[in-house]
Amino acid sequence: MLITNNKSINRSYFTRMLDYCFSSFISIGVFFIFLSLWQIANYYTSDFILANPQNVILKALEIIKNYDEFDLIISLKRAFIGSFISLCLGIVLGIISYKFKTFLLFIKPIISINLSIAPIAWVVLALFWFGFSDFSVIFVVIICTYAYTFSCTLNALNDIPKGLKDMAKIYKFSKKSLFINLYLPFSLAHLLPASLISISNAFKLTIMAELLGANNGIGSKIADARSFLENDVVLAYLLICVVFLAAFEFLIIKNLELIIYKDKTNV
Amino acid sequence: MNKEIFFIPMKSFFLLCSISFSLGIFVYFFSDDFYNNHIFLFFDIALSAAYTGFILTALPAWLGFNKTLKNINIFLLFLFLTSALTYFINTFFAMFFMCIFWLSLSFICSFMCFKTKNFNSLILILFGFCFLKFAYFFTLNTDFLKALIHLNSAAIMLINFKISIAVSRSALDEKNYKDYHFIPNVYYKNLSVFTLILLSIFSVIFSNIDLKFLYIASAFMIFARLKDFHHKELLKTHYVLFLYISIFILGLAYLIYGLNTTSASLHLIFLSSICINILLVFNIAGLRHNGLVLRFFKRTYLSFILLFLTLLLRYLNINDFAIICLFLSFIIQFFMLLKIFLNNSFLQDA
Repeated sequence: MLITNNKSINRSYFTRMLDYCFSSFISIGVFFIFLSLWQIANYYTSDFILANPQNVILKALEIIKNYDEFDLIISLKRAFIGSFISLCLGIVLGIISYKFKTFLLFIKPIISINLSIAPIAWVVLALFWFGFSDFSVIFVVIICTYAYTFSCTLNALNDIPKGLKDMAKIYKFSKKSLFINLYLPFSLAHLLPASLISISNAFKLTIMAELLGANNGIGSKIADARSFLENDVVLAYLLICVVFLAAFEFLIIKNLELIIYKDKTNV
Repeated sequence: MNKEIFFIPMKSFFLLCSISFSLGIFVYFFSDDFYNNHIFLFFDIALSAAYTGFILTALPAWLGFNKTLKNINIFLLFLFLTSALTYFINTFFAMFFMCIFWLSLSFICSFMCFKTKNFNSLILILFGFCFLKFAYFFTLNTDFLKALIHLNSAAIMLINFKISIAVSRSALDEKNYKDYHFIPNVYYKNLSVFTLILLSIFSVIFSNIDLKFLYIASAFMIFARLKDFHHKELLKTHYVLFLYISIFILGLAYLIYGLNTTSASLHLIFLSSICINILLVFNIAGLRHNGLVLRFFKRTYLSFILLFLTLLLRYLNINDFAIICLFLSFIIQFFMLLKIFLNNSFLQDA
């Protein structure tokens, strides 16, 4: 890294993206170290206890190749719809709570109750209420993840310095300008990581809900693999989830960060 | 004649290393036992000379040790030449003397640390080398040689880190960026060194397991180091570009070996981690410590091109031409270094 006057030098989006690509090699390297340790563990145990990582990778590639047959799209759709709705719900509730303190006092206990209930309980309840369906899985995702997004939105809005808000008032900023120049950058600093966590939670919850209460999707396939003692299939699905989330972070979240926060050079 | 050649470690050992690599051609074409001879020549003789030359030049500067190394150099030269010459009479004793040589070098460097109340992680790697040398000497198990290659790559990562600071400063000064400062990522360096040391340990302990994933991991850790150099201000200078290419090729060699575990790809690691980096260090340290401007000669470019060609030919198993390219590359280096060393006085503080 080059610095001048204790600040890293300004660089183009392309260069910062290239830097990010290279720094992501560290994560890839760590992932391969983990695979290596897995390979060693496989050597000293057996394929039944811990499948060979090479076979798992090949199986994962086969699943990705025949994504329709292996219900990948169904689970992705559920996770995305669930996390999108929970994100919107969390943001809307966060904004309303920021604007109206009465509403905040009202919703806080509900959020607390929501957080104290185990996700697995929601899965069981959703099964009773909605049966084996897309909606039951999406419901579980929404109910378990919106509280986190709500907290992030509220914290983001509360974190905006009072001085800046006063300045915006004095200079009579338009609503649009206020939103674009003040609220959006501050909120995104909290919401971008929150959306990543929301998506990853949505994924985990989708699989868990499918495992217990659906007849299709990744979770259901994992349940089948468990019945047939197909260790490599279970691990292949987990590997796909990890790779998918990493790709989501790399392609979407990080790109947005690089575009929005031009000063953030050190990734 | 400039007597410094006998008393300054860098001068005597860099020249010996160039000669050793050049001798490979005779071993290849005229030796009955090519396999063992080339291992001794490249692993014991050439590698030892390169490390001694570099460490006894760089370490005193890093630690602030400013006593003369004249007697140390004579002692190490004696051990080194004894080992090299004994090889023609008795292989066992030659290898034994080389082990003693490494042990002496490690203790000399430790003594420097003790005297200056300073520490450098390279010392640990030196003792690692010692252990592996002795282990190979007692067992003749080639797993220890593999481990030695990876440990050498770890050392290269450490050395490159230090060199990158010096050459980047030089590059920024040359291009008139006086107020710019280069800060390499120390955490990436640590991770790359850690992974390579892990690979070195695992290649001995788990020698019967295919460690392809760990090779690929090492490749990515090495590639990550390149992030530091992604600045047009730095890459405009040829020596930073060479440093960048040398690290990239080392990473590529590990990636190729991870994807295709063959003898040819293992030689790629040896050639990229040892030969290319040795050549780079020869030129950078050779010029800086002799008071010359950091600007590679045309012959240096030719040496590098020949070495890259060696890499390619060795990977394609065109060994006859590969060894000729290696010979030419280092013989060019030898005469170039000889000229520099004879005509210039050594500078400890470069």
